[in-house]
Amino acid sequence: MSGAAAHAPRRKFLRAIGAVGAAALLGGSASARGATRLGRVVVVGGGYGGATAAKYLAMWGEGAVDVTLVESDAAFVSCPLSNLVVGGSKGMADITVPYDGLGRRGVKVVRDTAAAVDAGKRVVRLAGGAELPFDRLVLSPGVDYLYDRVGGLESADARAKMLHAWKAGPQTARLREQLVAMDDGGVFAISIPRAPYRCPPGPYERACQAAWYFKRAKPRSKVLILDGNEDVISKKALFTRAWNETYKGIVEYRPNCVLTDVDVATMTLRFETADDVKATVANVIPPQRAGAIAGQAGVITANDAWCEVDFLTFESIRVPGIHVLGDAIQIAPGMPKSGHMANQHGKVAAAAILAALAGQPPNPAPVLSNACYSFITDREVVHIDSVHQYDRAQKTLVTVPGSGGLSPAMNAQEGEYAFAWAANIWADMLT
Amino acid sequence: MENGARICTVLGLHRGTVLYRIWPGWRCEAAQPADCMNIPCEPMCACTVRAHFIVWKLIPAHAPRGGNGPAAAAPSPRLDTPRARMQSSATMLPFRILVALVALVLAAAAAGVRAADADPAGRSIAASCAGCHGTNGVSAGAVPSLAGVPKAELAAKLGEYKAGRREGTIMPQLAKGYTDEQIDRAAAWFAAQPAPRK
Repeated sequence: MSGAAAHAPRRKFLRAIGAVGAAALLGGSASARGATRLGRVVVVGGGYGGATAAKYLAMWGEGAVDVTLVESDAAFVSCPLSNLVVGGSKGMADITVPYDGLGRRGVKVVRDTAAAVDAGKRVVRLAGGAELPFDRLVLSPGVDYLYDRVGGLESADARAKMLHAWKAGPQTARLREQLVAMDDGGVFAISIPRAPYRCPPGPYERACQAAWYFKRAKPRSKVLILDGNEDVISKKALFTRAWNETYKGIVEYRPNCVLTDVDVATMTLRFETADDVKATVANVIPPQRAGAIAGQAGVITANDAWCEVDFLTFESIRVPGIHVLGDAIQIAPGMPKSGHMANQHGKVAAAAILAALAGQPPNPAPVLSNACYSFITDREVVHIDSVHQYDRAQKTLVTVPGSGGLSPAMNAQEGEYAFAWAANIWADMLT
Repeated sequence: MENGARICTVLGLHRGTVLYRIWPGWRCEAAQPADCMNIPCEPMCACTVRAHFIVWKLIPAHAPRGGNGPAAAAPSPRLDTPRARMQSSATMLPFRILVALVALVLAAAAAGVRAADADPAGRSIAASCAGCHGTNGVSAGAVPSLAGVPKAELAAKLGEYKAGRREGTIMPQLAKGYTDEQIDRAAAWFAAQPAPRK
């Protein structure tokens, strides 16, 4: 081997080292030199579904995909654990996580609201006027509230008096203030819509957390659960036991209370068939449908409320190139509308989008899990869990027979797991 | 189709790994996916010597993986053997040190990528665990980390949960939802992840 020949590869090698050094300085960001562009993905909504999708698109895409997350809030505020803020054992800071971590992953976070989607031109127009072109769009818009189904809640003033607090944020803090301001001996009424709605066990957990607070601070007060359903629809035995034992004399449960009207002046709730109720603090969780941008984009296909998707990709069955995640979708049988499920949707969609952009088929056998903890006290918890596998014949996700289940009773060990779950899933979606 | 010898250059050999510089837009693929590691954002890849001497090919970066389709039928490039280069003389010593340093940097930077490339299906199954156990199995709290747990140990534990022979809270219920093959692939994927620093 001649000297010149021996040195040629060395020079090439040194150039390569220079390139690697540059990539290292850029921290592996999406702008790293030489990155191959697979395409542009816009994600609308930075909750459990959207933030997870954005993070995994960036992480699994290894810088080959431009990922933009459109989110109107400055920071993520978690619905799971927000009932602990209502009960007073946790504060807003405990359930708030900044979006900075996604930026470090290479996701461009745009603080704005998606105003319109042009599926033909593949452009999202933002309320602030900017236009974001996309190859694939992910909509994770959460839910909107059907106030037209509840008379008396037309005005913003009325809605400010009877809060939903069903999107964690300012309403969560205000509902807490209302409970703190309530005199001992007052009635806190929770109105639950007919299923499906976001987080089936959430209203029952909220009743427990309010009762936990009353038991200590306002022992003559009552929690009245006014359920639009025929029975407790999640963790029934466990919640019923909590109301009959832990919170005996504080919590009362009434089924078949479908809310029709409210009178905010007299704090009265009226129902299809049940008797009127007067409350000191009324928490009205209205009926729900997929967030407004889903309707605008034309992906609401079921019952004028929810978005049907192909469960291999979470792509809309109607509009190609638009994927829908989280509470906004028409769920498969046995799949709850939960934050944990939305996190799982985000990963299946991210993998499918990366495959599609690379001209590959999606994973033919996605598997999703759900773990849902409800706090009975400030530290004792019950769970429900399930596993969902894709069934090729039925073309949907099905709950695996024999899998999943419930806690035998509330316990503090699972309380620790619940807090660890929160820390890990927030990191899984936001860092 | 470009001749393989023109679209890649052997950069060096280090501890059983051959480092190549390749043309932008191409990537290495071996019969065993774990045998080749493509460097993110750089037209470079590292393969095991086994891959170098047995089956190794360059394919367009966006061609389907796994050996199907026309891209996979690209002719295997003929390469200069690194052994011949490395045996040349003692003047190669500084070069070998550089190779060693860069191989270490690249291995660290791409450790996760290598595991991910090894089995995307395993990665997807494992991702369904990350909601509780943390991204890539690195947990922040009371839920145990799975990253770096030996495959046999993790697969055995999950099998015991599934069979009802191990006590737990949610895991005996969740393990019943996964097939034995899924448990095996997820366990293999987690085992390949770097264990979290204590």
